[in-house]
Amino acid sequence: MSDAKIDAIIVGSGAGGGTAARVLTDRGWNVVVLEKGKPWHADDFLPFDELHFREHKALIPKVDTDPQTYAGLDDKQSVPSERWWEIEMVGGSTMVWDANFPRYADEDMAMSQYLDVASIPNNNVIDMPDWPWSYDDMQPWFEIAEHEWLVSGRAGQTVGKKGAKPWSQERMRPGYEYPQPPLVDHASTKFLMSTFEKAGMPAYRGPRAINSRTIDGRPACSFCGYDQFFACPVNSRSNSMNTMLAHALHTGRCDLRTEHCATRVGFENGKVTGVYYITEPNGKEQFLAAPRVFLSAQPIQSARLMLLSNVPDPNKVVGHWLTYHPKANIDFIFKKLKSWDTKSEGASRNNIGTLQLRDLYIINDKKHKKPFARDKKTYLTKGGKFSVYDPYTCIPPLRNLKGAAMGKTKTSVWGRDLVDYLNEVRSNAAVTFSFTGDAMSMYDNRVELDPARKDSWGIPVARTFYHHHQYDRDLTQYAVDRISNVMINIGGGELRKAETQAEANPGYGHVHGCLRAGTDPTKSVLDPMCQSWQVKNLYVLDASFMPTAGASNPSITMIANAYRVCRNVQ
Amino acid sequence: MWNLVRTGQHFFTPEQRAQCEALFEAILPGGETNPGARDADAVEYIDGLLTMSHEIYFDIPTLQKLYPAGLAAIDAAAQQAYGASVTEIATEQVATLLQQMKDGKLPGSMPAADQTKFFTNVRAQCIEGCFGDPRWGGNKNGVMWRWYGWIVPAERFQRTTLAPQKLPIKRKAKAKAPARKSRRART
Repeated sequence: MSDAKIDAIIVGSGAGGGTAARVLTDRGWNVVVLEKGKPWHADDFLPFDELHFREHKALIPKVDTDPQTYAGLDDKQSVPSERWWEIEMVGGSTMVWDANFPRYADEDMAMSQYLDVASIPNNNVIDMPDWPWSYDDMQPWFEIAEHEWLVSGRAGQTVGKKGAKPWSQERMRPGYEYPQPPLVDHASTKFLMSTFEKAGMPAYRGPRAINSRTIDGRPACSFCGYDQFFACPVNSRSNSMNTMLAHALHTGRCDLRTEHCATRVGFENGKVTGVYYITEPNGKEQFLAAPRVFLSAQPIQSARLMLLSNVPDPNKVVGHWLTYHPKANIDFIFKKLKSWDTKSEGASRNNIGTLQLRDLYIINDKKHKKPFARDKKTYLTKGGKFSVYDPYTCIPPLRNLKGAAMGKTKTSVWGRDLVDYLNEVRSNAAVTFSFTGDAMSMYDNRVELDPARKDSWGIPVARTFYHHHQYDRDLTQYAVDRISNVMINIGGGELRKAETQAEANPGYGHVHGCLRAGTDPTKSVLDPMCQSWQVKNLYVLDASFMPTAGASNPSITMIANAYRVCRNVQ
Repeated sequence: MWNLVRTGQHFFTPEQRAQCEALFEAILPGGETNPGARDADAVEYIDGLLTMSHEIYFDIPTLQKLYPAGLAAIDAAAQQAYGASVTEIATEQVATLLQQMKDGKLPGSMPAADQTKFFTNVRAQCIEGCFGDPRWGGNKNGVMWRWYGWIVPAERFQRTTLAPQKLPIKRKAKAKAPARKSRRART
């Protein structure tokens, strides 16, 4: 493509960048995608090998040469931290994601209606605005995103009271359906669903960007057992390359330039002029001109680019309100039940996280506090959701055994305890819960440039400052207690692991904020169209626009937003 | 397809390899109905890995320094506590020393933080050598996958010939008293 005809430059080729390339080329625009990493072929991810791909971290930036740094609890440190969620290759992190695609909902966007900030101790540091648009505004974009990323799932899985219509816990337009049916159930699904039913907490089969049938020339999932942290060598799992970029490149209007590392954004008189980049470590900076620039390099990296570019920041908002989801991991063993799936040939029959439990999304309903208060013992109002799966058949052995626990205090077991764990898990049914909660957004949680450290390209790395609010930590403990109550008292399980959120967080994959979108230019970096308030025609499409963290896996929401922005930009 | 090229080289001296094997067996001890680290030859994995480059795994240069130091420290502590090498004492005794290592309280000159780091790595690389793909040298004949039930359905494991058990070495009373005295004198 001639550089003179470029309508837009997109920085990053992952979920947001790929979607932008798809939508903008569909509109007839000529785009150049600058991707720091190299192109990979699906075949490069074979043979499956947990040592190579996961333990030796073959696909992620090396922490010793390409870290971000964490300032620690005293905000004075500069400790290298591994960016395991920032995959530098064509397709970005969509190449190794888990492809859990639950939507953010009313409860995530209309924050003031659901979160009772007044009841939270030490709430003066919390800033939880409503999003600049509603769930109803977003709904059409969710539908397009789900159909173009080929999500498998089912609307209306939850059965209400007798005579009432089945409903979707992620609210859907009546009559809406996903493009593919849900993935086949794991052997534990029946037991888990009936246990949660008894507890009055209905679970459902969560939407995944994983094929349940052959579609678009890509086969149905083979349940190989190598999911998160591995790339899919048969393209059953959607990624930016096999969906968005494939379409964009097919138009002939998308020029994908790999090993092009953006160093800063160019602008003049408050208007974007293009992107500076290098093509080798410490290489000569070059400039590519374009009338519009879309950043989608993941939140911390996009914030880093904004800081490196010296984008005007009169209100000191760039990099602030960084959020990570508070997280809990809870494991149970069921001594009375045999291991799931003992009859099948292979041990792995499902991808992790397909069963979703959203009952704790709202803990106490703020709007109807008195009549509908469900748990008067806690001040928590907004909660989160669980992904539920079997550690034995859904997680590869090294990851599972390194995290093996035999109770709250016996963690990372070894010796006799490890033998006991192994004997138990290969004989008895086990279940693990991964909790994702909303995060209290705080101004001081932020991204800066590290003055003392450069990456292997010769560019200052991002330095993060982060403390989880006590609310986040109490929320994860609450989630552990509620689930334990159900699994032990109704399911007959025994607790094996209960990890809750600590105050410190050196980095986590569910990352958002730090380039907030909003309606008030003094309190946000981006306008409601995700365009910089300061530099016209500079847009940001990754999850950094999110004003608050929400409480689900963020992918589909940021993708839907990329559709919304790219279909409307002029 | 990516292709693992193993050099066939080994990093450890025969003594270090035997010491590491003793440590790994304490992390995952074999029993009558379960294979252990020795059955999986898990030490072959780390012995080969440590000859590889930073490109294969970024932490290899660190481990190349940590392993010889950690093995020497735990062997010296075994000599001090039991009057024998870590390769000669019973697995439970090795476990006692490993617990001290984990807590950063192993007698000797190794800094506490390094001790904990060494223990964490010994545990990690033992599990990797046991349950990783056999192409890396450990998990001999897929023994752990077959018992655990990864890729293939779980099989029973029954040890037919029991390995000669090392009996716990009791420290001689003579050696005990001066050792304590000298420690006290140092502090």
